[in-house]
Amino acid sequence: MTFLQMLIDAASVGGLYALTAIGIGLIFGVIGLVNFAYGEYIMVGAYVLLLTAGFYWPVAVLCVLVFVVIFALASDWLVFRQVRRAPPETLMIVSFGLSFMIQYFYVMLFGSLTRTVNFLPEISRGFEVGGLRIAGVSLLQIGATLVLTAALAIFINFTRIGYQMRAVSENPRMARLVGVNSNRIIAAAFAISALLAVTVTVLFVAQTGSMTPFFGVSLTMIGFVATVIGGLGSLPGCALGGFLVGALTTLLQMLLPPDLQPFREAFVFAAVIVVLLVRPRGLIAVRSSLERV
Amino acid sequence: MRHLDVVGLTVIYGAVRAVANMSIHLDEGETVALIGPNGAGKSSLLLTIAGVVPARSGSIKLRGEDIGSASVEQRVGSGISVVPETRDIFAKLSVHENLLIGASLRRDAAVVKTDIDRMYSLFPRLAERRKQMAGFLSGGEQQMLAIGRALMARPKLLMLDEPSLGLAPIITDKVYETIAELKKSGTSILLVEQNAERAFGVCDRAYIIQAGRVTLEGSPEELAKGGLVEQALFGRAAAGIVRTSPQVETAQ
Repeated sequence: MTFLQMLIDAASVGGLYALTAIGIGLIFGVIGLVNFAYGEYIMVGAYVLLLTAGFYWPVAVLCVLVFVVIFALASDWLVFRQVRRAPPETLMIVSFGLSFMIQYFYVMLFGSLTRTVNFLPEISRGFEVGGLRIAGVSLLQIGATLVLTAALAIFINFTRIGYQMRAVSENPRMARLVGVNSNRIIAAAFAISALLAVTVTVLFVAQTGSMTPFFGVSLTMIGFVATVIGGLGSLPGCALGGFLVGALTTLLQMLLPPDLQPFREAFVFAAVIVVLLVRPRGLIAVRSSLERV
Repeated sequence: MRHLDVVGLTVIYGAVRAVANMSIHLDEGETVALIGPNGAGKSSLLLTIAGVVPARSGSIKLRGEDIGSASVEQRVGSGISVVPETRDIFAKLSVHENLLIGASLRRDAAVVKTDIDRMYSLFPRLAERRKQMAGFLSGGEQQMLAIGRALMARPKLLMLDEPSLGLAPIITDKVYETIAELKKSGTSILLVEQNAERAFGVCDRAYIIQAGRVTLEGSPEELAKGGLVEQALFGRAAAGIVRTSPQVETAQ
């Protein structure tokens, strides 16, 4: 196992975590909501892939995209908008409740056992380059992360909705007083975070081919850890945090003696605690919520 | 024609009656000042007219139309702009973006562009710093930017909350010159001030406000005559009021 091989594996796992972290960080940045239901945006998309098994793959991905974006917007309209001005703790508890509700609704629909789908098996097949084994999906994960992070940075910094989003993030009341339709801006943030969730879903299912109604939870937990390490509210911080957690996970997987393997997560979270002890505000500390990318 | 007509407005925060059965009006093109000490309810009145603070009772009419139940966005759309006491410029946005966002509800992109150029010629300091984040501006520049942002909406009613607060006298002069120019251009202005002398220099009419009520109304000349303002403000010898508005003593 060469160093380069390890780097590719770390980057591809890290990319998935980074995308999750950015999706969570964006919503937190704009409305201060720690959205535990984010994992469910990822999870429900996987079941759309299950139901559209056999479709031409772009059609299946489009179905996921449409469903998850509507799902995320509906969660905002029906739930989060109702408690828009509640304190952050309330928002968080509400998102917890929503997350559980969706999970058990999916248990009702699909059962709690693992379901499998053979989605795009071609891209998870590996190929060899100069002694390295690279899975196509790893490259996609790295590529998607880079492209989406860059696109989001450009969107937030150089478009009208982008600066309105930053304004709502900084001072929602003043944003309303200059005529910004904050509900529309918040909806845009939910739609973008849904788009990131769809990317994670597609790559995750292509890689593992399996799902349960609970698989979003662990991804969300790791996404949160990544956002906190990176500095909650800083999008580049989220991306960095995601990559670091991914790298750490991959590293531990390789270096830990087999007896300790089952406790890998404990080591990851211990590392997080150490990082936060040294830098309590995360690696990239920000003063306001949605920092320039 | 009555541009703004507020009748019997009451605003309550928790247990505090910030505005109690207040009635004020403003004619087309008129500049009206609300003068009173800290905590008299002036800012609450402005924010209620703007729609971000709910009224308990009373009515607010804009050109005869009741806007009491209109959303903030609708009120901005019908020509109300606010420069809040805390200025509330968007510190993380560039100066240019702060101006652009003032025109959020406008659809005439080309005219918006010429309006921005107009703001830059009105406030040359802002032009020099157009690409900088607004948080790095000085207090006076932030005030200019807050006024510029409000003007970008092409307001028919501009509400300014203590525009001279915390500014050096020379900067305050510049702000009041700008207000005088806006007045000349026909914008109706509702001006909240603690500094009666400053306000009297520019307004057509003023209300003296204390403890959420209008205690006196008149033209600057009438109010300045015979120390009516002092009587209204200090008649009951409220020590706190004397401390917060020393300027009023020189108003005559």
